[in-house]
Amino acid sequence: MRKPRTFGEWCLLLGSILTAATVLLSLIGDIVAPGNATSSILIIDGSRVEVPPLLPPLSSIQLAGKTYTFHLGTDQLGRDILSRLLAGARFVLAVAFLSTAISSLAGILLGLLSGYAGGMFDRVVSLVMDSLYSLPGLIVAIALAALLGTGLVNMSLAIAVAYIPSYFRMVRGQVLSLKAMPFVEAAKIAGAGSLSITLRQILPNTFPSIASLLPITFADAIITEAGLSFLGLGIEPPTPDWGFDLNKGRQFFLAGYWWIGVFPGLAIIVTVLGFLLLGEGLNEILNPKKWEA
Amino acid sequence: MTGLSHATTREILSVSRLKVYFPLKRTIEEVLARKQKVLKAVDDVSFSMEEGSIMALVGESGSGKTTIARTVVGLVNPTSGRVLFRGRDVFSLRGEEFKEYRRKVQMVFQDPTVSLNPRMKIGEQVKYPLDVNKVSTPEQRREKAIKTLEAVGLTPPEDFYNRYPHQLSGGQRQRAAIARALILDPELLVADEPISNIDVSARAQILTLLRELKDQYHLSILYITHDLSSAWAITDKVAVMYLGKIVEVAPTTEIFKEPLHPYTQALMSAAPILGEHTPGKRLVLRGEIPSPINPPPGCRLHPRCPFATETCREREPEILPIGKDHTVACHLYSKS
Amino acid sequence: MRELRVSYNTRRGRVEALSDVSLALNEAEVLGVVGESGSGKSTLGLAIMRLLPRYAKVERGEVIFNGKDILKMDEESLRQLRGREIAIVFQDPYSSLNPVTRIIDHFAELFREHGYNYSREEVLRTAAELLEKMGVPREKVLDYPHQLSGGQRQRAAIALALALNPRLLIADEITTALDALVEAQIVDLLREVKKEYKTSMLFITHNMGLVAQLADRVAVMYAGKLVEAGETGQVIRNPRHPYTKALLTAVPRIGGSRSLQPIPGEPPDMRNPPPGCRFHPRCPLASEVCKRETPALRSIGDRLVACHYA
Repeated sequence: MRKPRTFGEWCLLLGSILTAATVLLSLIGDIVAPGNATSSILIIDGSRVEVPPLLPPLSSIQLAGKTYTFHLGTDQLGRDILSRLLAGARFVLAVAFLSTAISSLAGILLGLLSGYAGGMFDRVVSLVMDSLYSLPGLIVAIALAALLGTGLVNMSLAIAVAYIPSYFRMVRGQVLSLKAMPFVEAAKIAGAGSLSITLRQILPNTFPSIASLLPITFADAIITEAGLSFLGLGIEPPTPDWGFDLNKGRQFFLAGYWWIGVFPGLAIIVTVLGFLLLGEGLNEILNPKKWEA
Repeated sequence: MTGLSHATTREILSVSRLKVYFPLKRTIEEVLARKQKVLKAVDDVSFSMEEGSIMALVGESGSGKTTIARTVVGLVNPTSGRVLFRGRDVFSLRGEEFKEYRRKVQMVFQDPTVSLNPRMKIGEQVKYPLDVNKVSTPEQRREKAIKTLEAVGLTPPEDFYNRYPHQLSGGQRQRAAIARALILDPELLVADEPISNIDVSARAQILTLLRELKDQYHLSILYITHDLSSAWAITDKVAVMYLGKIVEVAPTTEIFKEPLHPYTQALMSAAPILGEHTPGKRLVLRGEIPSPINPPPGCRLHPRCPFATETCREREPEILPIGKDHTVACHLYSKS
Repeated sequence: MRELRVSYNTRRGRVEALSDVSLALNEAEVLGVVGESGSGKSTLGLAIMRLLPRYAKVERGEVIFNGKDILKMDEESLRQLRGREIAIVFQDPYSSLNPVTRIIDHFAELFREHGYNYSREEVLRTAAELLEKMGVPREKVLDYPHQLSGGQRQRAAIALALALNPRLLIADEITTALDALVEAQIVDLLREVKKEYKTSMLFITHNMGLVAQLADRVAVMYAGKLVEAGETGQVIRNPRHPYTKALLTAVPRIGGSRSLQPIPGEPPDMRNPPPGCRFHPRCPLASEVCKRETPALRSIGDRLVACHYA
């Protein structure tokens, strides 16, 4: 692999590293840094030990005869922040993944149908999508989260709906222009039906655009999720969640316990940045611009 | 002799009084005035093709030649008139019969960069018509695709099977497009300016290929072009079109030796030749092609024709037979 | 042009579009530059005007015009040169004409840029006259480009290019997108221009037939190299380079033999051109030396040829 030459290639490299690190940490997190993420009780040699709250980062204390280091400190309920971050990563990434999957599949499907079918169906669906698109994503997510309730799936659904129009518009636009291409006409002349044309001829041509949109949706979903949980919608405590912790940390910040909110906040920023960079990098590779030959 | 030749050659394609009109977007005034602007792309065109021949439709932009090509392959519906394939009205066929027609008539497009799917392997695209028609087994389809790739000169075929269009040169892409058109063993190939977007050095390759494939696959080819030299090289019969109408039809050797219609003469004399430029032999037409939305009345060439008379301005010329197999639509040749 | 070398820096590597090309154009002479895609002919025109894209690099060479090297000129001199001394017309009229600007305003801007302080009436008069000379009805001077036909647009672009009576006109495939009859009209027009204004022209095309009708001398390019140059009639009657021969026979002559003589092989991949003579994979005369050594451009009488066997 050669050294990155352009801005996009740097983005791709950096983005890939960050996202890979994030995903990896979320998966193996509790093996690497086991701790008490959801309660203040730590089980040491079979006995339940209470962890003191509000310990600053890098505090080492004696518990049941052994020395434990809380690298990022503990929060107001005595929970290890590092473990909470890693566990939270899993939840956040799961929500982002699920909502991206739902929104992209729904958006692509509708975009394909609408673009290829045309007519009244297309006009009605486009109208609905445009209206949805005009609403701020967070508002839509809040409204739906309030309706649907808490939990991983409900949250993902609430967030997903806000992103369906992006995929819809992109795929539909491409279908419209691809429909007129000679290779589609050639397929018709060969006797191909609409289904075959849509799936085998048109759909693969939308992949590059879709691929570069996916990481961006992912990043956006993370922020929206953080926003929802910040507002207290969608998650059930004590499920670890960055947005929720950020909100709680806000209250303790002025008292001087900065680590409770700052670390979740940083986690959000770094993760989102990673995915955005990945998306930007992919975009440049898959959709080369004219002035780069 | 004449009776014998009529008995042995069959007509594979016959176009009869074909009209293809396209309605156009209107302004508010036109809607209110209940006027419908219409683009008369093909306006009462008739010609026929013999089996096993290569026939050229020659014309500039707006002549209607591409519309005819698209109508013959079924992409466009006629406004009136008939397209007869082996005597049967194509547009009255339904269901399975129309699908069968589809298999027998295939098209090669002008620009292979857009007539090939950029995200599909060459071999898959060539095989695609077989998939769509569920011909034999998947393995046999692949075999046939490979054989066809070889037949068009893309060797080694297994190698080209796995490549993508952007990895091929322009000439190679067009060969792939031809392979795709041949895979269903069609009887009629409609080639819409197949060499216009190809480099000069590759054009002769494609033309040679078409000639060879015609013999190998027992094809008839309807060859659309604006380039006279390729029509000269490979066709048996030429029909010249102007603004939606056929102005002259004749066997190739004859039409190049003795073009009758002023438009044909202008085309012939304007063709860049490699000899010295000989002034005086040129027939120059004034101006440019008018818009097909509002063609001139009477003979459509009259505003530009140096021989135009009152009759030309008022009445459309009829198609007149001149000698054997040579017809022309021009008042200069009418007996009256 | 002396030893001009231009390369493009593409995502997939460096492509050498012009390899040490040397060409001379005399006063009041039309030089036809013939080549196919990848030959470098368009790059040549752009390099002269210094209109190459950002990812292109002139690696070596000079372009001497009026005793000065264009490649070393400063911005101000370049600005004065373009449009006034050297003009260019492209294949796409919308590269020469701004779709949201009336024809007259194109002229007005040109005059203004080069320090001619004409009044509006003078601009109108001059522009209309020029259009008429190029075969476009005078009234069109107040129209927008889309209101002109394809041929008229190109004529207007030519009129604009010739407005300040440049010494050199570069025509880059200006008739390729036009219908056959219109193409012939434009060639006639250029012949008239040549006779009346004595403008030198660089006529870039892939069509040898047009060159035969218009150019005094012809330069044949292949894969970024000049392979043959000489007086048009002589080159066409007696081509010396195998590629020139192949080009001439590849196009069937109307009325002549109907046998086709295709050139075998494919155009070279310019990221990795063949070693030695770039034409050798397709050349009937190719031998070992052709694969190893790049033939130098030699003069044989009035002719320049780059071939080991010419």
